Amino acid sequence: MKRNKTMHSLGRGLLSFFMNAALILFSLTCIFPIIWMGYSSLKEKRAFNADIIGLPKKPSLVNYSRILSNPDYHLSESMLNSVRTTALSIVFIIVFSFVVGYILARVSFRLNRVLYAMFLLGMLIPVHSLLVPIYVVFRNCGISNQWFTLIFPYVSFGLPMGIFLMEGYVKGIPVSLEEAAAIDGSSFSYTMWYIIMPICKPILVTIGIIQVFACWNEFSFALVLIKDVTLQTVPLALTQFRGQFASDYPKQMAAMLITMSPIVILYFAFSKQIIKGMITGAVKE
Amino acid sequence: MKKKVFGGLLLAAVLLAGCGGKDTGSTYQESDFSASSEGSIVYMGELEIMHYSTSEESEGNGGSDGFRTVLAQWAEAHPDITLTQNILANAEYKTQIATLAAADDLPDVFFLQGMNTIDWAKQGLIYDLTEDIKSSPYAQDYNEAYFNPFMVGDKIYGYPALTGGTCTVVIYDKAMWKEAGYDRFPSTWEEVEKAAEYFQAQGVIPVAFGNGGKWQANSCFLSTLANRYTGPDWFLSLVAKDGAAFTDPEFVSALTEMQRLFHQTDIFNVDFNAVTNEDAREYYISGDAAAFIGGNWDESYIWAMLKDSDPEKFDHMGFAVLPQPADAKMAPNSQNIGLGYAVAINAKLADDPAKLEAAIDLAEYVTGPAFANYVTANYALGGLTKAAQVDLSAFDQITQDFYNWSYVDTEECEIYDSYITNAVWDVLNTDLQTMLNGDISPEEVAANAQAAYEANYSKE
Repeated sequence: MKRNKTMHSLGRGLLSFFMNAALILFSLTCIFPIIWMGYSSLKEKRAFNADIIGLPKKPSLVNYSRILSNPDYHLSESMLNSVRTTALSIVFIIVFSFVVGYILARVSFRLNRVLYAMFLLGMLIPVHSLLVPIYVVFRNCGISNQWFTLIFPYVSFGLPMGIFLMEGYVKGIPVSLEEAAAIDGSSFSYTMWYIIMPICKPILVTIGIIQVFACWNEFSFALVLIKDVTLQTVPLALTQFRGQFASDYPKQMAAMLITMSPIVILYFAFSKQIIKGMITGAVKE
Repeated sequence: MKKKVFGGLLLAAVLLAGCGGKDTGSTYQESDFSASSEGSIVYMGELEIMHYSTSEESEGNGGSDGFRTVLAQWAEAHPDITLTQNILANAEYKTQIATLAAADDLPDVFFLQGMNTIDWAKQGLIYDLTEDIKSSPYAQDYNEAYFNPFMVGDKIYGYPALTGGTCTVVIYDKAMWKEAGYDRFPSTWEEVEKAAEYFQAQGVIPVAFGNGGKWQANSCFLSTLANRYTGPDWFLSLVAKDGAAFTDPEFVSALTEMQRLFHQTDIFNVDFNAVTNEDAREYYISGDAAAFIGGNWDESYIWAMLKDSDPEKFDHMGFAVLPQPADAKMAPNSQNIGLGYAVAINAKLADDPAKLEAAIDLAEYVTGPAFANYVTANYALGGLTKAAQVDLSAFDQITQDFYNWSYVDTEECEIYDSYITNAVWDVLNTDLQTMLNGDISPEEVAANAQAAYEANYSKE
């Protein structure tokens, strides 16, 4: 009996060991690219090309100093452009998603479902098929190559996902809450902004997280709609480190680490909120 | 509190990244050259140019550095013209310029890729420069062969830009080949196969090659190898849709030989289809390979890497053309060289003669003697215009050897993918990669390329 118990405990221990080892290994595969970027950015181009994975033999910050001292790279401007474009886009996406999602979930009118379906169709259209028509529209409207240009497509293409999530979330909120508010004399807009919106905070954070990453990393619209190098966003500015026949990968990695620092710091600063928001988005009670 | 700390870090990170400073323009080397038409241009206003000579691209790249230099000279010489530059890396440049062409909104002046010439000329997007080129003050000095990719019939649509460098050069270690019993790199593949036995026994890769990007087998091998079977007229006929076909026996023979060399011999590194030219040249630099096949950009890199780190190996650098296949009868001393891009002008400028005059002057200047002299003097490279004086004595022996090999001692042939259309090359390049692994026959490759050619390419 005692022997069986020992065997059972040993089996559980071994299982736990292997499961933990597998999870640690899996975690390392996620973290390793960042670590690799970190130490590779300390290598010279030649050393990197000779040994892609190896640790730097003579670590040097020369890539960072070259990037920060060369005004042609426009990294600071591109970061500010990305921060501005992303921040404004997120504000608009959250506000519009909330209002439209709430109305579609709560107000019944004739074309409610048609309108909802139209918004959702936005998720099915491949962005690349719209690049040329959107470029032509923007050019004819005189709004291409401006500091605010990218906000329009980012908001437009962010809304379908936002509305989809918001509509579903609002539907899960008991209507009796709004009925009680109405009995107490609350107007439609007061109920929407001051009673429902605070309840929707987790899903709004989820939408915000998804869209921050989407806007920050977006490339196609930035490439086509922006001509002025001083208006480039980070993903576009990073392409400068690639040549026609050769690339300076260590310098590119150093630039990536510099430009990703705000978003990483943002993630750590709001990690609890972000994880909570992600769980909210994943599980509905 | 924690959030405040992170907020502060965020601000600090943004400010730190901002230390790059405001754009104050690039610094250029002083030059004795002055813009040709300084003071004679009547146009005043904005002129937009789009190109891919980024700051990064110009580091060690003579063509790019030269272009940026002469462009700055022209801008300085024309203070009444606001020259707006839209500079993107090459891959992004190609995407954006294609979008602008599709929207009929090309910039005033831009880089035209050879393979786009026919389509864009047909759509009326690019200005016909034939008369302007004929009457150019530098017309006598132009290397006329460089205009080929930018011609439709007799009309010329661009001033070939940047530097003309080879796309197929064999870079070999003279000392290693000497040990193998060869005073110079073999001139036939049969000899290379024999040498391969020696090198393989030593644990050395005889010839390193990288086709991981798929374009290398076409640009840096097939263009030259097939010329040995077909001769130059075949490809010009293919470009002109004048009867030649990918399925012609000569071209299929070239494909067959190429498959044999890569799939049935031990000449190349086994991972040639997985690694890029950037990886393969490291085999040569580290001494793991006795030779390497690549383009002039690889030569620049190897030159720079070995010059300081391994002077002995640097001194042993030699250059050779692709060896001749046993059953090939044409041009044994040929190598593909040319200019893949030209400075072209938006056809809409015809409505504004003063602006057009300024654009043509700019195009002539950045491809003219100022550019040629700069790249010759600083990099021992050539451009569209023949340099006034080629004094190679200031350069090291390897640079002199490479200049002579590129421009004097060898015969020129065309770079395939400077012409026709990407739709054809995408099909051919993908099939080539499969063929070199032995998974598809040369006949099938030729047939697929021909089908893509017929479906996607029209002369007029």
